[in-house]
Amino acid sequence: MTSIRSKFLVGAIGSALVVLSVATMVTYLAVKKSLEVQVDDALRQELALLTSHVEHGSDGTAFDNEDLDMGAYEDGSGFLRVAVGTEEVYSSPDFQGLALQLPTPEKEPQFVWAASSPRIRATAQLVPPRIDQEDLAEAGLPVPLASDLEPVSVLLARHDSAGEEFLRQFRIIAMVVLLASMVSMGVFLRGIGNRALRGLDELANDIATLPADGSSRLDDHARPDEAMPIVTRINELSQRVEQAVERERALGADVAHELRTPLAGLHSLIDVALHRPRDVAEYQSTLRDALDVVHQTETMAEQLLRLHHLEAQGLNGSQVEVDVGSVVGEQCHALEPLAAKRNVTMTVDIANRTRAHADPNTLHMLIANLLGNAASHVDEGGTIRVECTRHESGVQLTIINSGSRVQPADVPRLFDRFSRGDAGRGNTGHHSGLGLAIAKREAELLGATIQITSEHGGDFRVDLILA
Amino acid sequence: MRLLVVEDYEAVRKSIAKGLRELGAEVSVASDGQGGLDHLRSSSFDVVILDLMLPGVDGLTVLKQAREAGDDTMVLILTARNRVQDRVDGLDAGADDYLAKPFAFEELVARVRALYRRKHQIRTPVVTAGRLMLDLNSGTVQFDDQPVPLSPREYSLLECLALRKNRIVPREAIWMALYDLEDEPSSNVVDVYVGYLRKKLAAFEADSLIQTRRGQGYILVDPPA
Repeated sequence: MTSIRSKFLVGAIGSALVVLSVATMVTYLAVKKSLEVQVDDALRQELALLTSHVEHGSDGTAFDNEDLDMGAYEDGSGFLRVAVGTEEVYSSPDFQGLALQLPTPEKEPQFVWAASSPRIRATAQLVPPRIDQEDLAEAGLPVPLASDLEPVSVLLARHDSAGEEFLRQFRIIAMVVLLASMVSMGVFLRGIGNRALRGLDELANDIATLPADGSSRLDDHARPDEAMPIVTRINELSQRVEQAVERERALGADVAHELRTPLAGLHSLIDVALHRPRDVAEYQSTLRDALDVVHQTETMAEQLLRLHHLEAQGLNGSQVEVDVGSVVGEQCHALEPLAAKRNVTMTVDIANRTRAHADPNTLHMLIANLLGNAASHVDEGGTIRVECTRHESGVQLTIINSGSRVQPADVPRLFDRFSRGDAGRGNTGHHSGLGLAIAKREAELLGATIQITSEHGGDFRVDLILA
Repeated sequence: MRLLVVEDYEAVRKSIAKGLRELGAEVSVASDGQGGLDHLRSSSFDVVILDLMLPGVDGLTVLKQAREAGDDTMVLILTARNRVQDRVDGLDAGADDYLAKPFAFEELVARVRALYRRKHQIRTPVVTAGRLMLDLNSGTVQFDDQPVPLSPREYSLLECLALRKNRIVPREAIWMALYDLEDEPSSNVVDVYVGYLRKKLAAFEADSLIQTRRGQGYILVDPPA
């Protein structure tokens, strides 16, 4: 059973059933006890009357029932047994069936239910006989002491038919009332439950109709207080889903756009080549051009995969102490042939003790990325300056290349995917526009900060601060 | 037909320039927006093929600045941006046509020809002058259903005159139709090519269709039927 409503109803009705049953039972027992007390009082009075009729006179101890209506003990509604000592002086005709023993000095049954009949109440008393002094005096007999006489045991039992009927009706009424109470309580509780859970039902419906792309939010108006944490959380999740979907859409659109360009290049190269018959050299030239396009597209695909991998990567890479200056030195050395080819002057200044905590692999790739970016965009015959210094919060790496074609206003967009600075960080095809997006993510993974400043026609400067 | 291709992606720029040149067009190229603007300011073109995402000045800015400067050259936007809003923006900025990348070269050529015809207010791709007929689509010439073999430059010259038939075409305009900006102008090159063309037409006794207007230029006469 998973429905809150069902659980609530079963729980509430079950609890009510237990409470009402106990209350009914207690009431029933109280009524029954009250009835028993009444019956017992009557029995006690009747017993006192009967014992007063057992007299010790000149003829010995006898049960004088002349003034009594003995029919009440012989018609089955009442039972009486009188014994003097062990000698029975009176017994109702059906008394044997009651299986009650006469009281003895050791054991006096007092107000017990007869074992053989559930609605017969019995009581007994062991008393000395009343001494009829006048009769003894007339007979000239001495008056004995009560303690010298055989005790008289009187056992009286009576059908409590009125009480039994009352209790029977009481049980029926109680059952009916209990049943009716349960039904009405069920209806009532169901109504309360529905009302109490209406907010939850509405919330569930609203959540079910939320678009999968996270573009809508739950309204927090008129929500139960208990549901507000859910609403808040769902809205937070929706916002994150929307942002993720938006990122995916943007990425999809960007990738589609960036793929169209090399595809267009290939398409037009092949179209034009096939437009008329050509010699082998021309076909070879076209194939070389097409191969260049394929290489550029491969580079873009690899960088996209790298970016995707970095974005999926958490911040818990293996951080160890790394000599940043040493890494910078290695990467600059690797860059020298390319710099020489473009007649670029490189100056490298690395301070001592430039150590930082970082993931060595990511750090290598980041520094290679930034230096490669500078080498790629520096003007022919320009300069690249690399400085690795100690910073108050770690190590600072500064890479400056001349001949920037990035306007200061375009700097904030440089870390966006497929951004080429627009003002000529590179022509389409030559640069994927992913390098700085990758660098930013790599810096994030290293817990580093990265900043770019650019002066069009002047310096393009990247500052990386590693903690 | 003088064309300008403004495209930063080398593979596209080189291939379409090559293909269009092979079809007889005079093609100038620019790899960025500023280069495109410089070409438009210094020369005239029949059609400009313009990319939007260009280094430096973007394609839309190039288009707007050209229109603001009164340049009414036919412009075909050729771009990877293919959203409806991009096309609307491009056309609203003054473009005459829009083609999304990747594209079929044949379609590009067909659209360029269509723009070329629009510029010269020709509804059909065939221009006639007497019994001489030029097919602008195929770049061929016939005289009484006989093919007239012409070199690409001779054809360009005849096309230039045919599109302005019965009107005097100055030598400068003819030279512009024949050569790239990079070529050095020569004082008599137009006359030389007119001479070549007349010789080819003389074989069909049609050389009189091209007449010289001394000090003004040349005219292709379409005799009344």
